[in-house]
Amino acid sequence: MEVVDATSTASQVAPEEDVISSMPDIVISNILDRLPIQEAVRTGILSKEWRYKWKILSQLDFDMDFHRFLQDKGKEMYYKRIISRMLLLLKGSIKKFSLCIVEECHSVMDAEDINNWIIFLTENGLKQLTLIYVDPPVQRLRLTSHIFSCRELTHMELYHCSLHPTSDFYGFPNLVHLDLASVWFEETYTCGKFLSRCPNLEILGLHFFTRVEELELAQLVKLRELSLDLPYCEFLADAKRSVLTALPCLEKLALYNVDFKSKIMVSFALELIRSSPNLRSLTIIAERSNAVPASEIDYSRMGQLKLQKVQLCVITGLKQEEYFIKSLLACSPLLKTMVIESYSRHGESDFAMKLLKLHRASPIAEIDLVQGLSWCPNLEILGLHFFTRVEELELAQLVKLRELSLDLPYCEFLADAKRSVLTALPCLEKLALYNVDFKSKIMVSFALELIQSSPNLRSLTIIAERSNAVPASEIDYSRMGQLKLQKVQLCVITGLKQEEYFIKSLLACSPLLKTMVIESYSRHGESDFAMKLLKLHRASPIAEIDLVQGLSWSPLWG
Amino acid sequence: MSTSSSSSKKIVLKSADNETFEIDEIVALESQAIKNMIEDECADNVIPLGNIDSKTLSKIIEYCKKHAESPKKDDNADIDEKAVEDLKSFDAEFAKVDMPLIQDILMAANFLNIDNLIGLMCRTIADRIKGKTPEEIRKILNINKNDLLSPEQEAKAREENSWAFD
Repeated sequence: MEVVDATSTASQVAPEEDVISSMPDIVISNILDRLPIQEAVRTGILSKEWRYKWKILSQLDFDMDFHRFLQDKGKEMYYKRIISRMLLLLKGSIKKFSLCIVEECHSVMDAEDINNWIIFLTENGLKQLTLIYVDPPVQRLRLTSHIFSCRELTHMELYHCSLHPTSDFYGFPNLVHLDLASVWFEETYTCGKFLSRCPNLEILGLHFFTRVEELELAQLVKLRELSLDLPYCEFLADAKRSVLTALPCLEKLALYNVDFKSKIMVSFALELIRSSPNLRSLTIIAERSNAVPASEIDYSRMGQLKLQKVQLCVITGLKQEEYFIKSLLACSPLLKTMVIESYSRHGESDFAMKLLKLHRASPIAEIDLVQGLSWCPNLEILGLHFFTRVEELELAQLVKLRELSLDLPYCEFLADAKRSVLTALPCLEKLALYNVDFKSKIMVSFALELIQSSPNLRSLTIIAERSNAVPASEIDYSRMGQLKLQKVQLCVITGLKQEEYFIKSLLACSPLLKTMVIESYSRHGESDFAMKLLKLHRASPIAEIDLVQGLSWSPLWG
Repeated sequence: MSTSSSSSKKIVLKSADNETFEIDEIVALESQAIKNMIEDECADNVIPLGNIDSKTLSKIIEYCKKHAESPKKDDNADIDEKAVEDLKSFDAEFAKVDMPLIQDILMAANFLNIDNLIGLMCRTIADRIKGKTPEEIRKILNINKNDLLSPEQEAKAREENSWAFD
């Protein structure tokens, strides 16, 4: 069959013939569904043949990329109208619908709009629904009960919604993938009851603030992947809870916020591991609590496991963690890698010494003991906020970061004189720094370093903190280079010399700047400060500076 | 997992230009259409494919062979991972052909009902037109100059969905 006649290599396609547009709709929608929505719609001007082909789209992904597209074009206010129009104009059934709702959308579309779309979709063959609030409002979206009549649903991902199944809800017989985060059930319904009506689930994730009062995991025999947020698994506290029998298909397990000092949590984790004969991958993100360590836990019934990959994060070197690791190593003859992300304050070497001593059932096991956040190299959005102490941070390793917010007083790594200097954060577009003390040379230098290392930074927000520190010595602004900043917000600015220098250098180095909002807290009134600002050179001919008073423009901020 | 042993059942496919290809049945079963024919026992020894030329057919057989021989889900995740990686790089290499051939393969894969291959070709086409200007896409898709919209029609089309354009 390798022999191909040379004369037959000429293609059947005559030149100047568009073969694709003559293919069946199902093939064309297969191609169009893989394009961003706006690009699929734009095929309408290619030719007469292509004029209305985009109407056979069967998937609508209004994701973050779509939102960014609208934002770049300054068309966010049309978001709702675009979605409504697309739903009206498409010809076939819409099998997949995803909607990312960012903060700017709250004023454009409300719960009623979203629910109306969902009602329409459920009547038209919807199979996959994704609703994600990127900046969740206080109130959860009360999802229309129409969704419960959509028995064809195979995939549902909800973030920050509330569900109230109707009394005639018999379940989602086809649902294989369910992910709920910050989802509440209303009235007398519970998450466990809901799950018991989704008997064919293969992938299940229950994340923060999704309270699980009761859960009969043993009923979900088809589960292949499971992630749970343990603090919200209220069923764990139930002493009469039935013991798991078996999850024969489970291959991947992730447990979040496991407090190794809690006997209930660790016992449950062990129970899950033991009941899953085919478990291959285990991820545990520990939580640092101040609880009193639990009494000894029985590791004796562990049996033989098939684990191949284990990730343990936020490990602080507790005795309990050590026991847990010890028993996993002893019972996993197939283990290949165990990544332990250590957060220990006393350095790793002690912990490494302990780990070295542990017996390993697997002759090919490798243990990677890594520091801090380096284990998630694909992070795109990172926020570390108050009381999240960051002792060490290798930001330079997180090259994919697009958005970063840091609370500087808790960035303990700043004080480390030997801290490595940042090289580059090529993708960073949005940076927010909280509680920046302009009198602190360390903080201001770090802020500058971040700005200088982010060639694509467009938006910068700094919330200053008023401290009584002695003003720092001069800071070197000379290496600033050209920035791409378009939006800058500076809050709690009191008119310090240091703030002025900072503003001066931003204005001088940002030729694309559009707006700089300065929220002034000056005790001596704005006019003096305004005079100073007026004198500053601006690299951007279209820059506007808004000097506003106190808290007037940011009512949410205390 | 050898499928080329002489003892396994053979199927012969005949292209539009009368070239014949003898392949293992398991390779042919990648095509849902051929599978149905075999199951319904309406396949003769030789299955004629009057709308597929030999160049396209040999590419399709190359694809089906690779996918049929790739180890299926195994107890050992290691082999699984490797097989998945291996298929991925095979697919990427496979799709590095010119547009006319991609179109031929897509049409044939649609006719033979080979789901994965349809997906691979559609993804390849989508990737090639992603982020391109209308003019570039017309060139890639080989759109006939006589089929273009008139300036008035194009203006109307743009206006209908102005949000998607500039």
